[in-house]
Amino acid sequence: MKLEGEHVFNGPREDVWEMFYDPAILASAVPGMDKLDVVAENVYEGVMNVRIGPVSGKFQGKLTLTDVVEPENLTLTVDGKGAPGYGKGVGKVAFIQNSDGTTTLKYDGDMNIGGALASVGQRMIDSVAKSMIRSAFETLDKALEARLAAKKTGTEVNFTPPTQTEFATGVAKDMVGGFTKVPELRLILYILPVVAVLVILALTLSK
Amino acid sequence: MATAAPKAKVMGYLPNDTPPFGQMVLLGLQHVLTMFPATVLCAILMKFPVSTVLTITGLGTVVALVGAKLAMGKYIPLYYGSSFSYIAAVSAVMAAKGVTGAVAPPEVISVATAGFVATGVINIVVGIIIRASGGKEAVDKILPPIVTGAVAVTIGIGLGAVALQMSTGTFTAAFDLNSLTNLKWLAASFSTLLAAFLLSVYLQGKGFIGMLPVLLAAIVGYVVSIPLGLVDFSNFGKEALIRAPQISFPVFNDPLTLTVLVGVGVMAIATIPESTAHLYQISLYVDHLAEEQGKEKYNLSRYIGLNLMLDGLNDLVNGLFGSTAGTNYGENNSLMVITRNYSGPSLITAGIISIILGFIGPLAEVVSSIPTAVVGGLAIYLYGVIGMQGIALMIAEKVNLYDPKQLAIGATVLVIGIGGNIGFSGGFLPIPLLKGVFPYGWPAIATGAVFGILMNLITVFWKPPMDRAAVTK
Repeated sequence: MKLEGEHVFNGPREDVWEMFYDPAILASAVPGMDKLDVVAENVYEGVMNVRIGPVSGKFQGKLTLTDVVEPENLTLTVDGKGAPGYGKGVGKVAFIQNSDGTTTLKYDGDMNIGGALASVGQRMIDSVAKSMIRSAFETLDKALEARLAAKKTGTEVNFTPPTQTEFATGVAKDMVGGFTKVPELRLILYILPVVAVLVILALTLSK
Repeated sequence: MATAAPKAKVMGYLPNDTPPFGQMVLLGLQHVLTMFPATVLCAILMKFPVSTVLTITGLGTVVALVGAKLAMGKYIPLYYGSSFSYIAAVSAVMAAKGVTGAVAPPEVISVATAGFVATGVINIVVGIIIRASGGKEAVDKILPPIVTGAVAVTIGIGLGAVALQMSTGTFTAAFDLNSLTNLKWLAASFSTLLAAFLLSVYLQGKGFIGMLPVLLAAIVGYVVSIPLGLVDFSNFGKEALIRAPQISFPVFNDPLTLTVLVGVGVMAIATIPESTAHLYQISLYVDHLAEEQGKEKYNLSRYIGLNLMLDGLNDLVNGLFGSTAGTNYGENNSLMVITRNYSGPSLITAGIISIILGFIGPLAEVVSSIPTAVVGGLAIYLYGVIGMQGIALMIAEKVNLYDPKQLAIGATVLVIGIGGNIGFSGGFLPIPLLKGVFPYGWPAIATGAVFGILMNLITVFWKPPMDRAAVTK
């Protein structure tokens, strides 16, 4: 599964970079991530609770940062294993300073998922992954805002990451919307009335 | 300017592109021209009224294309003409009912079309099962590229003899080396082929006209055929200006119904590898164009289940209105590949033109007055490109052709499919088993596909001791 896209952070590049390097913030951005431990320089480990449709369970995850060019880009390698399956991903992340003081983060990566997770259906995972990424950016946006505000006033960072439940509600909302996004289901919703109309039409015309 | 500008913008339409109206009509007409001969021939061989088949296959195409767009936001660019796979089964029904005329009475057609409704339902159900079982990854285990690619080659090259028969006049007359007629046919056929070749190669990058090589070549061939006396003007003016295609609703309470449901319905299984092969081919080429134009890829090959459901929906439409069961046409795929026009709206236009052809007699007369030799010349190119697309599919999927497993599977599919289709009358293998389902013998292309699938399944469940793909890399 390919994951690519970009996100604009409302702050200078150095601050965005710094925030990215804070394991506590990074952990808070990953939904279901309890904590992130630093095991070596640029290597983190953590446990993540995942729930996608009927599949749920704990993931033991390892996060490695390589090709680090501060504050421009880095390569992120995620390696997760757990009861619901396994996931592996590599992604390039680039931080681009914009002239208006904002920072564009570009990411481009590949994610492979196997086990029970994959059997849920690649496309469902697709929409879950996208919703995870979106919520991660929302969290990071808030974190950055709090950090910048704290920097300005010189006070403590006032930021509480969203809870598990808040995240679960978000994904659930996406999934309900996502269900009618399953093309085959939409096709069935199309076939039924069309065939009904055609049957009536054919019956009338054949008499 | 002797040198073509290599940096010219890549002309081509992706599935969701809508060409301007005038272009769309011409592109649609080209699609109609491409599907017309086979669809009409199918109708005649099955003793179905041609006008009904033209109108309803057109309607079926429109319904299927709209369905794809509504379901996933992008068109799957395929044209659904009449399928040859059902000829044997339907002929058996016609024989059982004692049909003697050129067109079967509505009450007999109603019996046969019940079978098309069945294939439609089977296709839809199989499509849903595929979706539920994991989509492309699951299907690739059963239908790997060596099978789908080889099946595509088989479909195209297996039609090779028909293309040559149409080109030489031996389609209807006997083989005669002293006949001057053969020479006339060849002249018309080869000038059409030459025109199609030159136009498709040298009009590239010349704008819209470069998208019409088949339509233009047909016109060239037509003009050449007039002095050769191959255009039969005596057929003009026989059809009414406006005619109403005969609609017959299927019946399910005939004594023959059960035989029809099994005999015709089972053919759905034979068309599934074909339909999947077509989807893979067109997906490959659409993504190639998207890449050249720097646009997002369509990844249509992921929608195998959806594609089969659309195939089934199209069969349902045809079955309900008394037309022949359909299939997505390899000829039209070839046309799209040659012209780089994958536009869904232009296919819908083609469907609408076909609907209109069913109603307007003289229009259909003009199209059907195109000499068989001209059609034969185009067929050499178009059928051949179906085969070439199969090879492209195997190259793109990096099939290891040094691996005895792949070689054996490909070899078997090709020899049974092509050899059987060309060497035996009607493409039926003399296998006297399951005569209730296959009264004329086993259809060669489907048999080849099933052999390939089974051989591959053996290697899935009983792993070979070494993985050659890993060795050569």
